[in-house]
Amino acid sequence: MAEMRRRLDELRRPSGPQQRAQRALYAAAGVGLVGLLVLPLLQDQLQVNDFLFFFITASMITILVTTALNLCMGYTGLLSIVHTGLFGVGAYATGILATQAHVNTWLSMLLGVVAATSAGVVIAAVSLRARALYFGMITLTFDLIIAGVATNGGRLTGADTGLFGVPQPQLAGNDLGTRGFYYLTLALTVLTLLAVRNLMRSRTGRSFMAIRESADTAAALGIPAYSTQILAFAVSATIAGAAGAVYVTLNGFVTPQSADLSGALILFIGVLLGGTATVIGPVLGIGVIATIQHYMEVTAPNYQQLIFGAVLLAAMMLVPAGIVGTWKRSRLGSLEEPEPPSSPIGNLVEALPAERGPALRLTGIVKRFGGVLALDRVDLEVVTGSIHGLIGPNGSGKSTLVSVATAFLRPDEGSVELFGEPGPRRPHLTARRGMVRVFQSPHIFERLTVLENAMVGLHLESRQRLPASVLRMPSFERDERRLRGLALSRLEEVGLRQIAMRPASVLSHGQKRLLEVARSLGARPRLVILDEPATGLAAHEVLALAALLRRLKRLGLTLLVIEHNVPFVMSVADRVTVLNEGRVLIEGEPALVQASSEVREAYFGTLEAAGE
Amino acid sequence: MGSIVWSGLVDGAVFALLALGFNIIFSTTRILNFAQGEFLALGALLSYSLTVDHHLPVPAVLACVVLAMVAMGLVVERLVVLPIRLSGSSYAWIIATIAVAVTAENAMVVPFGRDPVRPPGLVAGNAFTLSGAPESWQTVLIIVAALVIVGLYEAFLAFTIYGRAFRATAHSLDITELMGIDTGLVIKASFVVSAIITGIAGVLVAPVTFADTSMGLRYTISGFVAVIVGGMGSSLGALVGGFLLGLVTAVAAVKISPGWANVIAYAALGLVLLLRPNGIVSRAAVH
Repeated sequence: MAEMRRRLDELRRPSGPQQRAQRALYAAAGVGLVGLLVLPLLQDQLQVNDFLFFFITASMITILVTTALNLCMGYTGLLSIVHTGLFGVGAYATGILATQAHVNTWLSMLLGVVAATSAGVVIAAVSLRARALYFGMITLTFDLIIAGVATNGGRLTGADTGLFGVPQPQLAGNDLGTRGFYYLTLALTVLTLLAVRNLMRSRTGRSFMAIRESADTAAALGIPAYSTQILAFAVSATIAGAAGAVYVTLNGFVTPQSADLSGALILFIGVLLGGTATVIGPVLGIGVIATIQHYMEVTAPNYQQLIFGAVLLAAMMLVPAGIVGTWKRSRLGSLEEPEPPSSPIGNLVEALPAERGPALRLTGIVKRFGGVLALDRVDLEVVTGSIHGLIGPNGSGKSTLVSVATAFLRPDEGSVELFGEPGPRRPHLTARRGMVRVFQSPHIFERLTVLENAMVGLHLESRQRLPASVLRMPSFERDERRLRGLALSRLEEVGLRQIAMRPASVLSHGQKRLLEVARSLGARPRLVILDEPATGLAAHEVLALAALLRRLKRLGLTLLVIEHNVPFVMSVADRVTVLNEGRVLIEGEPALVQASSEVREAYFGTLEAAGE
Repeated sequence: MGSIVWSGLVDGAVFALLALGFNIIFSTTRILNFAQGEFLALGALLSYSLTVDHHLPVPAVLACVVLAMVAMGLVVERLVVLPIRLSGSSYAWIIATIAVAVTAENAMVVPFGRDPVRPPGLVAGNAFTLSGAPESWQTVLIIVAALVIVGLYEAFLAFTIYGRAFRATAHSLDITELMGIDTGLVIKASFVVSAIITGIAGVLVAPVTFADTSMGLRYTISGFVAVIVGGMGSSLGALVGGFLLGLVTAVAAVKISPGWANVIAYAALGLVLLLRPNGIVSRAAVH
């Protein structure tokens, strides 16, 4: 009820040209959908032949595979060149079961989808062992293998000529028929697009996009990169497999060409021309290219691939953001989403344990890189509830020490203790243990909004489950509202609430830094490690940052601040450790450290000489 | 067995030239050019057309092919580099090169048609017999030419000022630019050199196999396998990867079946990518 009232309020808002343009778009999409629904009923009046339905159905199948590719490539940043192969696995598995094992066609289709999903999990699990570009190449070899197996599979796959005679699924004792397939595919496409939209506006979708932007940062916020990427690939493979299962039963056959590289071009066109990482992009991209294809089948059947290639190259040069991206950047399309209503909930940080023992204790840390001794028996103790400064000249080992503390690096000797227990073994486990790291250069998820950035920080806080997210169940809606409220309260805390709906890429360097702090608070940390937070900030931004750190301390947080900016550290820190050439030079209260002659010589001396 | 090994070496020499072509463009641009095989296809088809249809002598054919490759190298460079620069997507290069490959393959249908053709050898006659099978001088020429071309390219890198510019660009584009070298020009030159070498591979291989417009993608994949197995950025790796792939597929084709031979090669490629991602003879890593 409240939801409905909110929607009504939105409609009553004063409307500018952007709102009108958006409403016109929604209306057009609605009319289009209704048109597709009633088209078969008006077939006789409009005098369209069955081929049109077959063509639209085939295009929707391509849209499904393109949407699957977009999920991998656009949203999760995984370059997959195996999507025609996954489509082929779905098609071949369905076809083989239906023709050779004589399994009921509906059941064959279902099992075909399961086969594609399983293949996707295996391919992702193997390929993800490699880094970014090699990932794409390994998926390509999987595609070549799938097409090769189809070509050489003998009687099982029908070899070069392909698998024929796949029966249609039955509906009330009859074949599904052209119209039946039309409606089946339409329903499948609409539901898939809705599911992808819902998924991308949930915790799971945000973690996909966070990994795309930076897997390390995502891990620091508690998102396990490997299993999340496998999940994304599995969902994507399921969609591609479903498209394959429908394709093979619609046509009654499948050939090895369906699974090989040549079919991948149209998928890339669909994603890039329509707009990567947008729900409707694949529909528009495939819509355009399929229409061209449709007319060329009559006029110039031999030059289809030539035109495809040319359109793709032209699209990359002329509309690099794709149709949707270009529209969103235009004057009419640049509509800022209304700020969601929020109800600030709860405290910023959890109630803290009463004891004042060390939050973080590093003992005798030794780290070598080849022959270089980066850290030489370093001890560091950060008292709970304090701001601890860590300073030292360039190359003194500060960042290495932080990487050891946060499990990005494993020490050669020594131990890490976090709140009295052994430190975490893997980076993504640190957040679960109450420790988050804010990186040296701002690791903001540039293509997400400010609010989404803050919400990724709430990954561990979220209780959303994948099915509930996709189906928009009340439990999901409740959790999402709660997360939004929490995220907005954190943005309020750092003064970014007013620009919550802007893309993070437009923020200034200082704002990005603040956003990163706000995001790191999402995981309800007890210890925040800030790696050179004042670097590159303007003077007034440094003051704001210092004020923010003091406020966080009052809220009960422990802060470890690694810095070059000595006056800044001295102004905020309770205790300071000075690192030089991989060793602790001195540790104590700021005034004491500043007075130390050793430090002056090793560190400040050089600065004074440089005229600082 | 002797003739199987020989045919494996002949195929391997062609794969090695393709791998070298991949390497040259990769070194200056960090792009794996999926349109690489199209240079080979154009070289092969053009040599047939010039020899059989226009009755040109061998030196004239070679001169025409080199000119055509200069032109195609420059066109492909624009078609690959421009979309990458304008689109800003990190995966633009792979999509752009695939698009160029498909466009080139289908554009070649216009002048050459789709029928497979086979020009006469650049050199006639048989050189020797191996386990009863005659081996032509053309196959000897292919192997020798591959070794000579790889050697010449290494000499070019080592001993000429242009070669140093290539190596500097391969090392760091930005710093090379700062040194006052026009890296845009170096990139164009690398496409041209790569196209010429691969086009000549096409002229060499056409008489021992059938040439058609769809051969480009097949050779692209073989060259790709060779360059990954051998290791990016290494001419020695190109030779090792090429000959290894040629031998393995030739033996597997006879012992198992030609179709499965390819599948085995791809599976081997996947394993190399997983276990030794920088190739057997590794120098540079892909970034």
